[in-house]
Amino acid sequence: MFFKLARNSLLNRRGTVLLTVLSIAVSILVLLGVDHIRHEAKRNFSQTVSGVDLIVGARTGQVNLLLYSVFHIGNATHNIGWRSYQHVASDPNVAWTIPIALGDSHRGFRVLGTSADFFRHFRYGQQTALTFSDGKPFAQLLEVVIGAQVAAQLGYRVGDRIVLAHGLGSTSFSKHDDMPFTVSGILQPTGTPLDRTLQVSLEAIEAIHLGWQDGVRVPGQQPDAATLAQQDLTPRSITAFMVGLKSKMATFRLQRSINEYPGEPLLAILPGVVLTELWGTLAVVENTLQIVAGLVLVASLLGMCTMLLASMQERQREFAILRAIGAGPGFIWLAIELEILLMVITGMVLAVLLLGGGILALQGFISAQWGVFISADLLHPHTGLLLLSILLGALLLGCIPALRASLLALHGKLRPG
Amino acid sequence: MTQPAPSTQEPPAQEPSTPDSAAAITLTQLRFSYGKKVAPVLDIPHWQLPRGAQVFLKGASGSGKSSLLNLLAGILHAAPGAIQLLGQDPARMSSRQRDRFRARHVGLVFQQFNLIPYLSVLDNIRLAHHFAHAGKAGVQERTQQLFDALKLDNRLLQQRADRISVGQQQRVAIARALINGPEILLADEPTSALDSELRDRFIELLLQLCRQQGSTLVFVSHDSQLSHHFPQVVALDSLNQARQVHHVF
Ligand SMILES: Nc1ncnc2c1ncn2[C@@H]1O[C@H](COP(=O)(O)OP(=O)(O)OP(=O)(O)O)[C@@H](O)[C@H]1O
Ligand SMILES: [Mg+2]
Repeated sequence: MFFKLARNSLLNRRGTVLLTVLSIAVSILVLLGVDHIRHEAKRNFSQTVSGVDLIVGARTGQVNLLLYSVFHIGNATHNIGWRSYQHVASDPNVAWTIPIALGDSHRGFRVLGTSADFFRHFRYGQQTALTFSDGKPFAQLLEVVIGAQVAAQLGYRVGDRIVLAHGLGSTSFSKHDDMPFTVSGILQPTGTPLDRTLQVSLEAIEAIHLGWQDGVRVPGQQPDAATLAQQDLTPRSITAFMVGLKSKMATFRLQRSINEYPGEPLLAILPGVVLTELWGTLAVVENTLQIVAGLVLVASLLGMCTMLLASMQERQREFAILRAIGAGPGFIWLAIELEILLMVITGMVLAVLLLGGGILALQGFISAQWGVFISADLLHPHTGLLLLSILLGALLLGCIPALRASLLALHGKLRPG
Repeated sequence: MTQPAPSTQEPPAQEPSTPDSAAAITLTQLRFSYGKKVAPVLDIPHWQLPRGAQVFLKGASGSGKSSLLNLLAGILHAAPGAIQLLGQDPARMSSRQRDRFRARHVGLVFQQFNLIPYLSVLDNIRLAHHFAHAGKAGVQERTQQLFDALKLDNRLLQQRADRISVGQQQRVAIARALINGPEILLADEPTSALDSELRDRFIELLLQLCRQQGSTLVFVSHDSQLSHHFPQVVALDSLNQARQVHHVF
């Protein structure tokens, strides 16, 4: 009966109530959205690379180097010479290196030129090694390994023949269609940008650029398989490389010596440190967003109170009737708080559904654009706490209209007619 | 949440005994004003109403009729000792006991707008029953009886309360007020929204029902044309000494 009263009372004022619920839903959506995306971004970023001691590239911003080498966000302005790479790789402290050559694409997915060491040494998440759901690493020049999403979206299987394009973007005009690659393996999903990349050998990158100059095909210079075999396909430059050390003790010494390398301006970064720095830079944005989201929520809860207070005038009769049939001031208090509870919970459910639906709908787009996989699983341990405190806050704010109504009732100030 | 408190928690002495010998309403030195600095609205040295009485209490607008009914219903508060209802003093009850007492023993009908508009007629009646904590049983049958007596169509029960005519609303209000079989029925100009023919029929129905139930009826109105229906007519001004002070206005 109590519930029916509150529900019907809300339905009776459905116009204003609907708007109020919507404004609550939107503000909770913003709050949860900001929180979730922050959470997901951190999870994504910190899981993308693990066990790498140094990342080396051409001199640029530290964060920039991290972003393009690991997360494939943005592009390198300069490459580094093969000789420089060889120099660092031959340092006695270095256990392994993974070269990275970016700049080509296949139907919107990035192509990563690397060496077989990539499959041997690369780690993500909690020191997880790469595994194949099918096939094996590339062994031949014109073989390619593809990420899980690439395989899923383009429907490729091991043995398929594909053509790589020069440059980025799915509508690249300059296709290297004279040299089709064979899919040699498909990686297991990793939840990192690797799912959306294709890996080939550095030599293959070199080979597909033979006969091209400044991104344009030079007529009469298309090499065939026979000439390819005779070519020297040693790369002239790469984009960056990852370094694993034998002993962590050497990290800073090696970092310094790379940064002071006389051959060309290089930059070596510690991914963990730079990631922390990145969070530091983002913290301001993050906090600002959260404060704004919080204020939006407070505003919409205040709006709800205003709505309830404004309705008090027209509802005096209603309360007078309730009083007449034996309802106490406490009942009227509870009735209003129950209305608030219903509105806020409806708002929350709406917010979670909208956010979850929105994420599901945009997931693919987001990961295609930014290589960040946002999971639709909204409920983190602290989300419940957040929602609970929103609810408590709303009920507390609701004391204003509830108190007003029950005081009116208590002092017989209600005018029935 | 629906049940404010099980009735077992209340002191048993207060509620159950309503000695038959006691008058329905006894007022002794009742003084009431809406604020310390405001002139008193009511000052009634003594007034008693036996059980089963049917009294027409007339008074001009602003003479304090509604205030008196609200005091009798325990919605407004008087000093201890001023009011005895069925031998009990609402001023000596806790707020919760007072609300419960009102739900069980007092029925109220206002001049208009007696029903919660967004509930069905049946739910309005059920709600009144709910606050009396009288258990589920019998609401349906009692509603039926009251509807028959008030010549109301059963199909109205499922209608939203604001979708029925004013005359129907007022009759439903009586059914609602009588659902818990209250000893006292307080009616605050319940006919002012009705046309004269409807009004006379309405009052006859009300009087008849109260007689059947043995309820004491206090019917207030400024309209002395209605007084001929009632066995007893009292002018509030003759009881109320506060009124005489600013009678000149
Ligand atoms: N809530 C209130 N606060 C302060 N004064 C009030 C309040 N209600 C009524 N009064 C005053 O008390 C006096 C009596 O009012 P009351 O409503 O009891 O009169 P009434 O006889 O019912 O009048 P009517 O026939 O117009 O309904 C009036 O002077 C009124 O101004
Ligand atoms: Mg009045």
